Amino acid sequence: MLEFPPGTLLAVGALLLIVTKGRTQGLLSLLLPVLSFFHLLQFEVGTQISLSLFTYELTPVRIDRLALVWGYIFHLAAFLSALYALHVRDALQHVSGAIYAGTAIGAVFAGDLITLFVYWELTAISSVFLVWASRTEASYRSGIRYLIIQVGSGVILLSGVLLHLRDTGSIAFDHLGIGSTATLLILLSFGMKCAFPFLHNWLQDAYPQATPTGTVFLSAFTTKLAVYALARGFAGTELLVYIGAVMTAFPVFFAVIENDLRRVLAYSLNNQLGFMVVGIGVGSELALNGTASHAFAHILYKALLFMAMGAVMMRVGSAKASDLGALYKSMPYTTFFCIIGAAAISAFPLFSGFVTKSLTMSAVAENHYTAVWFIMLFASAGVLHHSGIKIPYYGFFGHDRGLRCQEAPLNMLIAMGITAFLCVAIGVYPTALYSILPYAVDYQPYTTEHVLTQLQLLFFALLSFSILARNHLEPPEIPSAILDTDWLYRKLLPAVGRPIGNAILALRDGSIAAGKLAIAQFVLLISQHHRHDGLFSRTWMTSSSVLLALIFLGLYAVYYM
Amino acid sequence: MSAEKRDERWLDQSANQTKLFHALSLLCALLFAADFAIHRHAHFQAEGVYGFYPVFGFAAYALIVGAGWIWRRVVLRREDYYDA
Repeated sequence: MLEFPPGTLLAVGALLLIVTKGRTQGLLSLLLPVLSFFHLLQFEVGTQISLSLFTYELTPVRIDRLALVWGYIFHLAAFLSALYALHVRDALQHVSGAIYAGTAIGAVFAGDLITLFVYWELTAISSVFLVWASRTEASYRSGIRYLIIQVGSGVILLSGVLLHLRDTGSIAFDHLGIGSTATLLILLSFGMKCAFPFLHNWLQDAYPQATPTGTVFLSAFTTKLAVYALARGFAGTELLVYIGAVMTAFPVFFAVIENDLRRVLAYSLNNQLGFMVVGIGVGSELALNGTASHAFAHILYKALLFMAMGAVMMRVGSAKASDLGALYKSMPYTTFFCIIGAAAISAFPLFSGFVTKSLTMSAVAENHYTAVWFIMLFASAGVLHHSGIKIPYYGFFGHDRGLRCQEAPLNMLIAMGITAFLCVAIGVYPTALYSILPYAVDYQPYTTEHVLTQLQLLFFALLSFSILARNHLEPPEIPSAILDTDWLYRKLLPAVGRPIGNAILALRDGSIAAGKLAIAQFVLLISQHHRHDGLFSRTWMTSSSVLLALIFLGLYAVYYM
Repeated sequence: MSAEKRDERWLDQSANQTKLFHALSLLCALLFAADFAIHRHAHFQAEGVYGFYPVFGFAAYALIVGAGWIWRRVVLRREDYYDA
């Protein structure tokens, strides 16, 4: 029973969702993650399953404490996302969601790089359907861009793996470091999926285009799989400290002016990944525990925030700040859960962000990355701004535009309720989460000093917001598009490429036309000489022939005499 | 209009919003005062200065919003920018 990788039950069981309908389909979509989770629990830590393919030793299953953190939270996220999507009557979304979650789980237990590559591409292909399921022109185009980048990341991974195999003769997925072109390619591939600066924009492009329930799935797996892969292959790579620091800070400035609240959450996701990447770069046991616990807590509160925005999207038809306002009157439960998610991501004491992000912050301080620490502290204020305040404030409070709607459906509320409960439970009782981390935890988040300084930071930022908002100094919420790096390939590249392409096309058309003309003239010339009165079809008179023969003979005589 | 009147909540009255603001200000004053009552173990010199966290939180937030006003002049476009 054990001889197949974790996640397989979910990914393959998804095929049953194609042939079922209605309530059976819904129940099955909930049951699959549960069954898959119990299957995972059957494995002992340290288990490895290997098999030989041609001359290579593949390790499709490797169970260790690092992978297990991701294994647990991915199952939890798969279940909660399925519960949230229970009311959806669209087999495409259920099937692709389950395959996507199952292959992401498979990926974190991959013990070799070839297996990782296979799962890497499977998650890319299965997840794009959650974007396309919106069935709009915009989501179709965005999905294509998403797919090009995700599959591209896989192709770069494979190139790196093949070079690495040539260099070292090994395909084991262990610590890689950045010593060679091969591992740099692998880092680039992970970085694309992890939304490194300048490689990030697929995230803000595609996630807000997915269906309300699809975005919840998407927010959990792809980027956190990349975080896991970085933690496995590049822990202690100092470059990542600086990349991560940039990632925590720059999305803050985009989130502040973005109007689409689901896109604000995508920028916020990007900023959260930064904290995890910094932890990987520091690479100490404390830092990696920080990254793992942060990934765990983050998946929950980020899913919760996307769930709240998804509910708004479903009921109002828009998640844009310029369309929303005072929804707390219509959706009080969703508002309440959203505020819990906002408090958790802002790292208020007694919420999950507080007990997880601080592990990384402490590790950064202990390793004397002073500038990075201050950037992260600034980014923490940024998190409060865009996720702690902007999402609940513009989503559920703000201007009352007279918008009234129904509360979210029951299954959504239950999914949000469980997720919100977990955000608080982790914050109140962090020991449980700490006990499953890769390394032993010797850390006490609840010291008077830590609680006080965090409250000071957050409440004074809130005070700043209140003063600005009361004086109408917050940027107004207006329908708009924000330029980001996608401008390069959506505007600049077409703007430069189209004239060049047109010139090449014109050159091609011109040379074809000129060639056709030359051939036509040549044919005309030939045919002119072969027509009945042409040079070669004329009847020659005998006298002319004799004259011609005489001339040749004469020339012959002159030449040889 | 009458429907909206009936849906008037506590939070809609500006007097109550002011009350909330005053409560928040009071809480902040208490938190600031607590800085002098508690001995902190700073990792970095600047962090150890009295009032560092309150001032940093307040200033960082204001800076983000201020930067937003400038940044939107650079990157903000009409909503149909990419469709045009």
